[in-house]
This record gives sequence, structure tokens and C-alpha cells, in this order.
Amino acid sequence: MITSLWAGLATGSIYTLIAIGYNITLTTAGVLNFAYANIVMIGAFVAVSGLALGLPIWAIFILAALVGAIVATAEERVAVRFLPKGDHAELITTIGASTVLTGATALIWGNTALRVDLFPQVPLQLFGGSVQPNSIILIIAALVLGVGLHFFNTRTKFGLASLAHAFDRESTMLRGVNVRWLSIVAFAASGALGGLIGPLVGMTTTATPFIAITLAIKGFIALYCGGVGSQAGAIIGGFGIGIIEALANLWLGPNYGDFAVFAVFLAILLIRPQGIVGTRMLRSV
Amino acid sequence: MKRHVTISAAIAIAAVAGLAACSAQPSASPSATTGGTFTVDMIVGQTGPLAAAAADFSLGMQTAADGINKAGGIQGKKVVVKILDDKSDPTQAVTQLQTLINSGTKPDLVYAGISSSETLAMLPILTQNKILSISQATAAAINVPATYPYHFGVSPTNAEGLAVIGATIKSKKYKKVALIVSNDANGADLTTTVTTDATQNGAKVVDTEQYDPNGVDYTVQFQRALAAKPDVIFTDGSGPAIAGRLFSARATAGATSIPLIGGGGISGLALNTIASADAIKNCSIPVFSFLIQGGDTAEAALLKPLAAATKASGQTGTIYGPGIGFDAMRIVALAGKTAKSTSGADMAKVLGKLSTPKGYSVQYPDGFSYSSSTHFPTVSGTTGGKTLISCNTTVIDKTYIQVQ
Repeated sequence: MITSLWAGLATGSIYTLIAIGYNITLTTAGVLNFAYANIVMIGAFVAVSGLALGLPIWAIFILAALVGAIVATAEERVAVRFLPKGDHAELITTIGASTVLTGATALIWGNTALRVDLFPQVPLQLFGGSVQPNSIILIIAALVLGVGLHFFNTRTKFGLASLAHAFDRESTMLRGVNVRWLSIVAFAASGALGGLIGPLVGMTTTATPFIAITLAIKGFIALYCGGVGSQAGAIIGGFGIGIIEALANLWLGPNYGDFAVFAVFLAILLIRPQGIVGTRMLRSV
Repeated sequence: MKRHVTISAAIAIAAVAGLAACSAQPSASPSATTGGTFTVDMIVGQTGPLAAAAADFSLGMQTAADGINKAGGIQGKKVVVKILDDKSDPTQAVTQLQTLINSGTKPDLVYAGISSSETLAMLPILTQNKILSISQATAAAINVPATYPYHFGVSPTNAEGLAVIGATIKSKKYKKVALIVSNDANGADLTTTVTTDATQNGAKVVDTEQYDPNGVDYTVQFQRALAAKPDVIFTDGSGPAIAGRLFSARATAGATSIPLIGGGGISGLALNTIASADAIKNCSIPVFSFLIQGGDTAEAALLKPLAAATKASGQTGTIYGPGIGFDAMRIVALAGKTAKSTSGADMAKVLGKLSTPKGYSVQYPDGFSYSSSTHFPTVSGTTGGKTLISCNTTVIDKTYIQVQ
């Protein structure tokens, strides 16, 4: 059972990282970026290219983050910037961006799966279960980033300004905050994060353009289960879904994982639509 | 904000479904058998988990079509190969096919999907419209000539293609077999096939696990299989993405000490590019001789243009997928030549009793035959024309594999 629990935490960490990425643009620019999982996969493919070029690992991560930031910024300029505010048309255009990025990734790197071999993957025995070293890194990364961004959003001036922008763009502008700049920074930061974690996610899933939609949907469920806008909620939702999926697969059978996840998702939407740690009250900033 | 986002997100999800439906429209204009063209519509997943396999098969089809056209086409008609993206989804495959037929133009040949699920979904419509079809899908449910008289398989059925596994179970004296297969039609067929092979060779299937081809992690499946204490594990997966996750899960679950035998979906892949050395140790796969460098010199001349096209394509697989597409197109061309007709009914009639000459098929250089009772290749011998080799292989020139 412990190995299954580790597997659940490992996949849960990926869902958490996707949900965290959604939250960054959501709480800063008010945009749920459905193309975020594609940027993560681009990071994985950049790592494949970096390895082929013989780049050191640290350079691969920097390059992946840089490419992720550039792609996300370009997405903000093309698919988000010029849309009217307030009607959430970005949800549709970012889905379009996701389709474009999937196609572009397949054109550049091919539509096959490629192994991301950053470092040797020899399973570790921890607490009576087997787990890949990369999974441990992903779990720690999800926890550190989630907690760190939670405090950043609630304790720093920039974080509070971002929340204010997401809540009321016009009022924020009247207070002298450059909201366009905020939006660009939000997309660039989320893109850099997506690119940065991409190589690690790719080590688990292989680098393949078509896994992005699966990650995007599960990340979306994690986001809503935990509570939209809450990084703490992303951690709870992501890891919770990963563990439920793995344990349902183990105890009920391998075809029950998705059923269990969607059953929990539905139950949360019915019982607590604001998510586990979300609030019905509008945020005051 | 959250309320608006929630409502908008729901709209967005509905839009995803809408976009998917919209993108099911043909990527190419509807084909027509006019002006001396023999139109081939490949309804396969250019996107989705089977995209890599689809790209390989279409490369083989196009390479064969180029050669056929150079030699004068099929009954003087130029072969035109078009690809319609079904996103590796049976529902989308049916939509594509129905749209194509409703446009008023009937293709001469349909390459009906990569997976058995896609093929099975399209077969009733293809049969109703008397359209000749071919595919590499291998589920036994496809091989029913009385129900699907216009469809032919280009790969052996699982029963024939995996016969070598039964022989291995017997020679290695395995008694307990665990299966890890996909939760679709092909997985169900593999379960039946390997269970039969195991039983006939003195072994028993002690556990059967299924996985979702779109899943992220398959560790639990291997862990459940290990709990049954098998002597050997059989698994299969279409495409490198799924195979990569299967092997990664095998290593994570600590299942590398149990021998693993892969199926046809895994056998044509460059495994060392998608899995670690640890994950593919103690593992074997059934392969055709044409896939192995120097495996069959008699095929060298036939393979030359295909190998060149595969190498030039930049695809990271092997010649396996292109080889299947290559055979599919050439088998149909041979039927047209023999029938002296390009009518689907005439060619199906000829195919139903066709025997390929020596050196015509890259998969079966010694020849194979169809019959009125089986529309899948039949060969002599007990191994289905395949050999079991180690998974630890290296791909040479992005084409052939070399056993380490």
C-alpha cells in the first residue's frame, strides 16, 4: 500500500503544480490559463533538447524556465491582452492557445514520446514503499511552491496588489497600480514556473505533447476541489486527488481511479462549491 | 470573481467539447474517385496518444503509394493518400467517416484507425457503404468476414502475432502469468489471447490489470500484479508515450526482477529512448525480422525506399510502423491488379483468397494468405513470423533495431 501511496503523492504533486500555475494567473491577472499544462510540457521538451546538446542540468532548468516565460508572455499578448475584461472570454482563448501549443510542440519535437533523463532513476525504499527520486523532488517542489506562494500572495505588497487587480481591475488602476504590467508579470512568472517544473514532470510522464490535456483537466479538478485562488487549496486538492486516484485503483480496481476522482469532485461541488478551503465571501484587500 | 470564473469555466468545458466536435471536420477537402485517382482516406489520430503510430503508418502508406504511382498507379489511377484526424478517439473516427460519406464522395480505401476500438467503431458504417478498408488493429472481433466482408487486417491477429509467447511460456516452464493491458477492445482481446496461450501451454493467468491509456501513472497496476506472485508479466501499449509510462511504473513498483514480455504495440518501439536501462531489463518482445538490422537480407531491396523514407522523416520510432503502412498499401495495390478493378467489392473478393508472392510483404517475406474464413494474414509455422528478442535494443539510423 505504501508504494501506491507514494504513487498517489507523485501524481498528486503534478496536479498540485498545475493547479498552482492556474492560481498564479488567476489571482494576479484574473485569467484561468488552460494552456499552462502545455507550457509545462514545453519545459520537458526543452530539457530533452538541452540534454541532446549536452547542457548541464542547471542550465537546462534555466533555459526551460526562460522558454516557459517567453511562451506564456507571448500567450498573454496574443490570447488575453486585447480581450474585453470581465466576461472571461480568456477561458476560450487560452483553450485555443493550448491547441496551438500542442500542435507547435508536435511540429518542433515530433508527436512521439521522449524520455527526459536528467539523472538516474533508481527507486528508493522509503517508509516501506518504493518511490522514484524524481517523485520525491516533485512532492517537495509542490509543497514548497504552494506554501511559498500562499504567503507571497497574502503577506507581500505585490501579492496583495495582484489580488486587488484580480478582484477589481478598475479600482486597482485608480490606485495607481499598473495592471497591464501586473498581467504580463503574472503570465511570465507562471510560464517560468511551468518551464522550470516541466523537466521534472517529463521525467515521470515522458515528454509528449498530448499528455497536456490530461494534466490540464486533473489540475482543474484539483483547483476547484481545493478552492479557486487558494494555493493552500491547490496543495490539498492536488495531493488529495492523487491519493484518492491511487488508492481507488489499488483497493477497488484499476478502472475506478477516475470514477473516484470525479465522484469526489461532484460531491465537493454539491456540498461545498467554493472548494475545501475556499470561501464564499469576496476577498477584501 | 470566483462565481463568475466558476460559471465561465463550465462554459469553457462545454466549449472544449464543442471545439473537439468542430475539429472533427475533415482536415482535407472531401475526396473523390474522379479523374483517374484512387483515393485513400486514413482516419487515424494525428493527435492524441496514438499520434506517433499514426505518423509511422501514414509514412509507410505514402512511401508505398509513391512507388505504386511510379509504376503506373492502381489500374492506371493515381493513388492519393489523405489523412483525417480522429484524435485517437473512436467517436471522432465515426464522425470523420460519416462526414466523409455524407459529403457525397466515397473513398476507394479507408485505413480504419490505429486501435481496435477505432476500427470496430467504423466497421459497421464501412460495411454498410461497401467501402474497402484495412488497418493494423488486431482484435479478434474485427476478423469476422461474414459480418465485415470489406475489411482486412494487415498485421496478424493477437492470437497469431503472440503465438511466440505461448511457445516461450512452455519452454521457460512459466506457471503463473499476470497481464497488464489497456481498458479497451484491444486490451480485452489481448486478455483472451494470452489467457488461451497460457492455458494451452500449461500456465494459468493469476491476475489481469487494466490501465487507462490517458493515465499518468501505472505503478498501482504493477503493484497489484506483483501481489499475485506471477512467474512472468505480459503487458502491451500502443505508442511510445504509454510504453514509457508502463516501463517507468515497472521500475517504480520494483517489478524488474519478474520477467516481462511485451506485445505487438511495444515491440516496434525504440525502447531505449523512452525507458531507462533498469526499466527494460529482464524483458523481451516479439518482433518481425524486417525490424532487425540484417535480420533478413532477402528483404533488403524491398526495404530500401522505406528505410530511406523512415530515416529522412525525422521520426524517432523505427521502421516497424512504416512497414505496416507500406504493406497495407501494397496489398491493396496487388488486389487491384489481380481483380483488374478498383471497385471495393471486386478487390475485397480477390483479397479474400489472395496469397502474396515471396518478397512482396516486408512483414512476411515468405508470403501470407487471406481466406474466406480469416481476413487477417495467415502464415505457416507456430510463431506468426515473429521472434522473441530482448527489450535491450539500440535503434540504428532511426530505422532498424540491434539487439544488445
